[in-house]
Amino acid sequence: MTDILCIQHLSVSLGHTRILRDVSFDVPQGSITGIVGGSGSGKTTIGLAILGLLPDVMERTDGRIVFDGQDITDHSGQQMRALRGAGVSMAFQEPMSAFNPVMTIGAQIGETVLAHENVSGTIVRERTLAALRSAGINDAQRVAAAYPFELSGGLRQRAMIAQAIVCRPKLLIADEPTSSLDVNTQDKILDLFKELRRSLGLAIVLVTHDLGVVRRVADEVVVLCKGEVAEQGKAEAVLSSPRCGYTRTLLEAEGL
Amino acid sequence: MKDAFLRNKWAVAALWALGALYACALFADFLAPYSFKDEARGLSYCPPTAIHIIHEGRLRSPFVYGMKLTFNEYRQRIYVTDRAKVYPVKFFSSRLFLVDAPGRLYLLGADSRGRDVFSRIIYGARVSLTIGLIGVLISFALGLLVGGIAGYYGGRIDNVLMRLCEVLMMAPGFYLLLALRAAVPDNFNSVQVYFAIVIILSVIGWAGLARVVRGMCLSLRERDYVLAAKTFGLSDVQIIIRHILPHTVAYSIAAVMLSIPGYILGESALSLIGLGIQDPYASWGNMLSDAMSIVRIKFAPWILWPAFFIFISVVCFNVIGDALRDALDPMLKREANV
Repeated sequence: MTDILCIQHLSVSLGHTRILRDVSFDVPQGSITGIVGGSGSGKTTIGLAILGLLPDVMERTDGRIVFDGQDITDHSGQQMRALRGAGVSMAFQEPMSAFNPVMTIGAQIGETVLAHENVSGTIVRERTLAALRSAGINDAQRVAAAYPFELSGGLRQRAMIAQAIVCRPKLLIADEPTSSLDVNTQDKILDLFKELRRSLGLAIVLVTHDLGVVRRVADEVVVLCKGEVAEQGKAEAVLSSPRCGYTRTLLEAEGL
Repeated sequence: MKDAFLRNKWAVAALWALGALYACALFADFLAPYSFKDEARGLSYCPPTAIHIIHEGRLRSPFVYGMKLTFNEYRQRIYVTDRAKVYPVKFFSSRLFLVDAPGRLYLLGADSRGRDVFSRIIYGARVSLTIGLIGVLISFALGLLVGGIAGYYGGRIDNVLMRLCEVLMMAPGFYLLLALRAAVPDNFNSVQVYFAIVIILSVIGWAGLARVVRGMCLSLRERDYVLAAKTFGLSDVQIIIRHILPHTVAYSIAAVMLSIPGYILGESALSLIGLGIQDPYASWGNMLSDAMSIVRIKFAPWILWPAFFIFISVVCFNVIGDALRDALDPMLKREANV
């Protein structure tokens, strides 16, 4: 299996503080890779670095990012913008704040389509409804016409995922996608990830602090500790026989 | 929000008053008995004409008497009613109401050239009331654009644009207005002058809004949905227009209403000192230039009527703006309910 994403020696610093230090890992095509770490371990920064959306105060000091066989490290703003949404997209932890409160869900998903493809309104609408359905939403019509505050947390998260996959990206970065949901809904969203991987061949980078989530869905796992890779490998191997002390601490804290 | 606005009785009254004024401007050709340049030199500063219904003890349909100019012992102009001449008021002919020549019907008196003040006020509304709307459109487009760009990008762009705003705001408004007017060629026709004034007023007006919008954008750009829009590959222009500026709308609408009076007063001020709309075209401002001498106000106080309409429209816009701001700002409303 080839790798859809290769991160090589990525370092990011904020002034003199180093957020990420020499982080390297690969994401095989069509796999789910869990990135695990405590608060402040730099796991969200990895996602933003891949998308080229690091905050102004942060700076990538070293490393390369290869996506789909292409080195995107030195891509221009224009090239990165074309890639975002269509090649790599991101789903956020809190879909309530990740949707613009004054636009309907359908308008926001359609806007993503229009940002990448020059298609007619009817096709945009079809694509929007199709994406909502693949995200496991049955009454896609109603959800498309709804404003974010009118939906439940689980539906919102599905709509968020629909927006992320509407342009058929090859890689989805899901940043704590289940943290704000109850356990039941969490399970369903995780099932949805598995389903999307199977039906769309989507590779997913699952950023989370929850080892339980990783155990349920991830093939590969990268454990981050203070901006450095503490341990990485097959999910089962890492979780059943952790070699690193930090992973053990995380596992114990979860009672696993 | 609509309910909150409609509960404010003053605002509703102001809305009706403004609606009536704009309707007058729109239907000026029908409502005004005379054209704005219809002169009657012999009836200079003729006082308001009384409309009678009783002639020689008998009731009849409304009519006016003829007016005759004479002079008293101090050589002052005196208009006396000529009861021999009767001019019936005709309704719904070519105009809403008028009397046959040589009779004249001056509802609000006549100006120095015997033109009807009432008609000129109605025609003047076209200039005075639209200059605010068009001016505000231009300056708000500018203000939102500059404020949006400065707030979204921040850094050096922000710095340059905001210093520019400050330079504009630093100059005293009225003198800047005069300076800009001086830069406009004086052989412009009336339409060109109209648009020159609109543009001059807009150039002065956008800076304040740009600063406030920029401040709002600085905080709006940190919202998650802006970052989300970026991760989906939307361009900066799309993000500013669709995801940032709509959130400043509540403030902007109220600010639009509250800034229109500035344009009305600005046009009036320019026209008053003869730099705006030129005679014979009417605007409330240039009609008042006749009233700059205390002697004329003493003998023909009705030439002050345009000032009343300026006052009314300015107050109405302010009342509506205030009510909109209250209705659109839930924080203020909550305080009021406590």
